[in-house]
Amino acid sequence: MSMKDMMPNFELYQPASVDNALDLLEQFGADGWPLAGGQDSYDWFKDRAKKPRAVIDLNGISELRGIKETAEGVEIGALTTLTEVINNDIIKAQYGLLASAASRVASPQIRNMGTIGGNLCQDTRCWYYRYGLDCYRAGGNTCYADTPQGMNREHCLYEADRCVAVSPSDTATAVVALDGSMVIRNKSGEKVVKAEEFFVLPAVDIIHMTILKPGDLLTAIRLPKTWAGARFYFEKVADRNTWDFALVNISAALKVNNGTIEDARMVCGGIQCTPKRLTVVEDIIKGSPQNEETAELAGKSASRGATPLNYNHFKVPLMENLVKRAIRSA
Amino acid sequence: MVAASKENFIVNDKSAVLAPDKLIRHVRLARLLHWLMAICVLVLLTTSLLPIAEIKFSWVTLHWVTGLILAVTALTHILWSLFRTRIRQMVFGLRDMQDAVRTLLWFFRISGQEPAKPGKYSPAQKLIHHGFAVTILASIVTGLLMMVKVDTPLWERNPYWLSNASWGIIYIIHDLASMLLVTMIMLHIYFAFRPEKRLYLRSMVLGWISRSEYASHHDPTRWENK
Amino acid sequence: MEILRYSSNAWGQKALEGLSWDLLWVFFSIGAVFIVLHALYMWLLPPKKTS
Repeated sequence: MSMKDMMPNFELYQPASVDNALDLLEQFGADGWPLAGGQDSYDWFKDRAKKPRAVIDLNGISELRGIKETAEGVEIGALTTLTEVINNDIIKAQYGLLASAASRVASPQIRNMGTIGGNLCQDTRCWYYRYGLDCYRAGGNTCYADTPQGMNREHCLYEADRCVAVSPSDTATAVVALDGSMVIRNKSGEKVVKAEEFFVLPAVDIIHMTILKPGDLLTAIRLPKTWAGARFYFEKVADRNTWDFALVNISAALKVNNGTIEDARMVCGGIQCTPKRLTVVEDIIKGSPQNEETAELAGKSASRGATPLNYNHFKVPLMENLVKRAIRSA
Repeated sequence: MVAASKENFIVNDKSAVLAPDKLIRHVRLARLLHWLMAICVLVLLTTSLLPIAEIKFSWVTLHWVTGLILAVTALTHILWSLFRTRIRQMVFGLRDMQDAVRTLLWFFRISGQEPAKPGKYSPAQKLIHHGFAVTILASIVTGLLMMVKVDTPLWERNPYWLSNASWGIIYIIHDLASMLLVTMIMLHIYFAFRPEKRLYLRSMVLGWISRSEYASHHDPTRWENK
Repeated sequence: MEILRYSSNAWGQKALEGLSWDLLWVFFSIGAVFIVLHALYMWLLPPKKTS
């Protein structure tokens, strides 16, 4: 990899409808690259680490934009920008968790261009992988991060299986916490997949972050009414308050009645290759009062099973403290 | 023929009389090791090749654990063969080469002269055994080297233990061995189920062949004297 | 069809990764073809043993 900031040649297609886009995605298969806001894609192209033959620009497809209320909840078009999500009245009123998460993504300029679909589908930010090295995720036979000398400060605590990269998406934790679903279309039809099942661990598929295959298109994200209006907490800890990806982030949705936590969904990002649902914490706090004692107990149990790498031990107390704060402050 | 006794029955490889019309071709330990290795190889090939065919599942841990079991089983087989059985039965020599050529000429009707009856193992059986031995040993050795990339309580994973070029060679040997195994297993299973060879499949399951099969398929002097 | 798989190492040099998985179909096909031909031969023109 010798030259940066100069994209390799590709054929650009700008379909005007989802059907047209699906035709193109099927035609080009693994050689096709669906382009939304481009905030992830252009980095790859400029670094010449990914060189698709065809780029399918989805920005002309209006049916992929917009937020609408449905009988079951709300449906967000995958090409809706993060700024649109943040400013939408329905999202702010009922699904504030997603608005909070989206508002912490990168920078205002990136949020204006970046889409929620792209934020959910984005590739991992492991610097070895992003540099274009031949690691397992890139189809090679090694992992540079998980070695005695590897710089793995921002890598995972859980489910390290040959690859120790993490899920960088802030909105992913919120969508999982809100029990969202992803609407995926291809030439064979449409399927709806729970957000938790949308993301893939490296043990199952080391090359992809999501279950999307060549020819698939994420068209919408659906949030059910189940968690609408619940108590929410989102916090992202990063080196800088803007632009940086999360070291650890947390999305929490709690249903509290008379001071007792009736139900909870808590999801952590930045600690695993997928958004990690903290089911142990959820089980502990359900039926417990929302107080300091519950928060302490939950915090201690949150990091159970963590296996830090050489340089990311700080993520363990960080994760515990974020869980405590989520329970206290939701 | 040596009469079968309880001690001999497990490990003694002399062709013992099991019953008036049956004799042992493979003792229990031999059959156990064969089937254990067969299951291991099939699990190893399945776990490694299905993900390549886009059938995704968590395969890596199952793969290397099975690989370690195969390594121990293969080592047991090798040591047992070296020290407790007549290893000369499996040696492919000049006479086997001549028999193999004669078999091919007779098979393709180039010559009318039937090949001589073999000892315990025909030239083809010896060749498939040696083929499996080479490919399985190659995959075990390269696989054991790859274990340095797995975090265990005994060592921390370190891919830099070997250079990129060395890893490339190791992966090529491992990949080639696995692909050759696909072909050989297909042929091995096919021949095991062929009607004229099914006695050998039975002998690997139940241990015995009949006296008439022994007489018609083998030369007793070549079987016993090796 | 490729025989070998390559990638770039940390210095941008071509590094050997392994055999191409396209070869798997070659090895599978060799086995399948052998089985089919042998089975047909044994069915149509089986060599006869006299002893």
